[in-house]
Amino acid sequence: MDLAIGETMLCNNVEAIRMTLHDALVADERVVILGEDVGARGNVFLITKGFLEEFGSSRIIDTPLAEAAIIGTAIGMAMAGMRPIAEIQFADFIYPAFNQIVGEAAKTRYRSDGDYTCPLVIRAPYGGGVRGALSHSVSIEALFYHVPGLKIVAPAFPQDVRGLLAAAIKDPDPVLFLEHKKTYRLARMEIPRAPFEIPLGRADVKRTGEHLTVVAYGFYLYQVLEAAQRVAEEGISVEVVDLRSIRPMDRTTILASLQKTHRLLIIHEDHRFGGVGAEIAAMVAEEAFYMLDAPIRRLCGPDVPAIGYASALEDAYLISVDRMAEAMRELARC
Amino acid sequence: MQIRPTCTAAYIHYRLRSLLAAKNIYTPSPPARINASSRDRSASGLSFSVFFAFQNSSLFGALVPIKGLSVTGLATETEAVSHELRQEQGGVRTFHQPPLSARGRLRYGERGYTGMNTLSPSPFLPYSLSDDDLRELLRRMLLHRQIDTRGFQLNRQGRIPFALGGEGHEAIQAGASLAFRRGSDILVPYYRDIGLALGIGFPMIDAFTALFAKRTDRCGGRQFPSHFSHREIGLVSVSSIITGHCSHAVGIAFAMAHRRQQDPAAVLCSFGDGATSQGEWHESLNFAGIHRLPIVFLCQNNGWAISVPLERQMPIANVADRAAGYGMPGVIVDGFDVVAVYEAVGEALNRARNGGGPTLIEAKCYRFLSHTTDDDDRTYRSRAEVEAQRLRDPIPRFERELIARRLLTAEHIDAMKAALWEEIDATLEEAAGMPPPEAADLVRNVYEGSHEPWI
Repeated sequence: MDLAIGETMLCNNVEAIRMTLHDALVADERVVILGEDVGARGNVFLITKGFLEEFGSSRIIDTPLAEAAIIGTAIGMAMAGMRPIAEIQFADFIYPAFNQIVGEAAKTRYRSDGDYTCPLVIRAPYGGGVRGALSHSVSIEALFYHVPGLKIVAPAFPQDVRGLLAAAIKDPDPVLFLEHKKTYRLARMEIPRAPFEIPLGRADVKRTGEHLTVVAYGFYLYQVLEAAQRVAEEGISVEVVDLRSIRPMDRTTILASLQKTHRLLIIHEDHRFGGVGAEIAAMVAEEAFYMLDAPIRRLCGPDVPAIGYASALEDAYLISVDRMAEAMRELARC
Repeated sequence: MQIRPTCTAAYIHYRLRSLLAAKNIYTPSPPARINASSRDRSASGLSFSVFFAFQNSSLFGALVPIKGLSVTGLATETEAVSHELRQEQGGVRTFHQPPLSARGRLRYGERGYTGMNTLSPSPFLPYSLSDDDLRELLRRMLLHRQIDTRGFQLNRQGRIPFALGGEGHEAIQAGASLAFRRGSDILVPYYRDIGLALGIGFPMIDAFTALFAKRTDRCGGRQFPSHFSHREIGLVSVSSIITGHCSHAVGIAFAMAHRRQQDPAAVLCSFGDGATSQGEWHESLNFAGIHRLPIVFLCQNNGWAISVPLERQMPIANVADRAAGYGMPGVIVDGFDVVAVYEAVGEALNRARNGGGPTLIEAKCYRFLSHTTDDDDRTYRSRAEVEAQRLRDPIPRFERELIARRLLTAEHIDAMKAALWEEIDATLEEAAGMPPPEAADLVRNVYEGSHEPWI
């Protein structure tokens, strides 16, 4: 992408998503948005506010309150040549649509040997730290990243959100686009004004360092960068890899970083057992064991069913900047 | 709940006639026939069905079912009748093709009997189809039956691991396929729709490459037999997951409605009675009803979901009764009557194509075979029941009609069957000789491009 100076703007993640959806609706009339409260209400986070008036009810579709039907209908639209963007209001509500995503969307191309495809984007706000209690705080990536045929994206910063969402909408296969709720209005950052795409499956080094590599994604990246800054003052140089895409995942960037730092810390909000970190650790153990100077460390969500409503419970589930910094120190000393 | 002595068929007829007269609907006098049947004395109590035949200029041979009598707790028969009439426009309608020759009478009280096929002949009314179409319908039914037969035989011979049969569904699938408009309509079928698929133009060779799971199969040997996919003819990839496809059909209909295509078109979504128990089935009809989408939901109710009979599947007698909950017409049609199915599906598809919204059609039939070659229906239903249903076999019934109508002779039909066997067996052996998939085919078409999760 060719950017002239001055063609940037400040925006947060909500604005980045909104702008990208708007670009897609304008550019391609096959694009439709469907979900609960996406029309008159403009989505519960006001991401699609005003779209109904601008694009009409045949493209901005307030659906019945039925997640399986939202995804199933979107699959049908995709098979018929449209480019549906389906919204699950909160990721916690996605379970009724599990069959449609895993049993149908992910297998459409494969089971028909390419006769039918499913170019579908499923947007789902996820994650804790917003006092969302038991059923408005969940992380769902590990439930879905096991599934061949699906792609999963979980960007954290406005530029990545915009570029990856644009790419997801153009992708010929189903993409689960995860938006961490806590990042929605967390920060305004400068991003290019003109539409652009970031290829799915590419990680990004958000901070370069020498002594250890932290792989993370989602809201925790903000805290990881803060912790890295903190320990840098103590002489520990941390390289931060933003995964951005959960499936496909960028092995190349992770291994290149380890070749330099020889130490790996994986941090994610989702449960530890069977989480994304487990797959990364296994991959590194298999492919870069002799590159490591210390055991791989994981800092993850505890293996309890959910984040509690009480702030004490929420705090106990989530990982603070302090704990991240401490884990970095420990690994650097190792 | 008990039926009071006054609640006889004659009484109902009397009440119904006066109500119909009040609505200016012409009724013949005396009525063609009234049949009452009682069935399903199970959990929900007594269900009582009365079918009253009437004719009028716009809807010949239609039936008004008076099913509310003892089912929904309506206080009196009169209320039941008027309730039914209120339902008539947006509610359930029963189709019955007026036959041109005598039909075998049903024995009441049989399991699976649903009040269909109860009319005596009405020889005044012509078929809406040409003679060629009628012969084509028989050919499609025979083809379906014969391919099913070969599928099961191949399995029993150990040549293929699995086959699915639709014996008993031939009339529904031949009739519906003739109403389907090739080139513009879209079929979203389920796994028992081989007759429907062949009827809309799915090549016979592809049915057999699927049976043998050959590399040349349209799904590359990945899916069970009868799980077809053929985009060019408007046949959507079949999912094994029951009801998973109904919402896809809704999405396709939505795309159709908003694409403003030149040719008006509709989606035909087909499923069995078991599918109607899934939540997604209700979600799909609800969505289609809200948006008045161009779609026809065709339930092929054969009374059995593997081993579970209809009365364990739902507490009411008719799937079509549920249509009212989704703001669309519900239609019951005799699934053993190929022309009646054609009429019902054709009318519903036309309505859908012309902006009239969705329809739920329930075609009542019977599954003559086990669920699949892996099933053994002797473990859960009596031979007597199956044999009794075999007497209603739609194929000999239609053969008799065409013979009586002098469209074909028995010799013609024998020759048709022999020609089909020849074609089927030649095609079967051609498919059998084709190469199987290779191990390398495993990773094709996971995504566009690489299947690897790591980049």
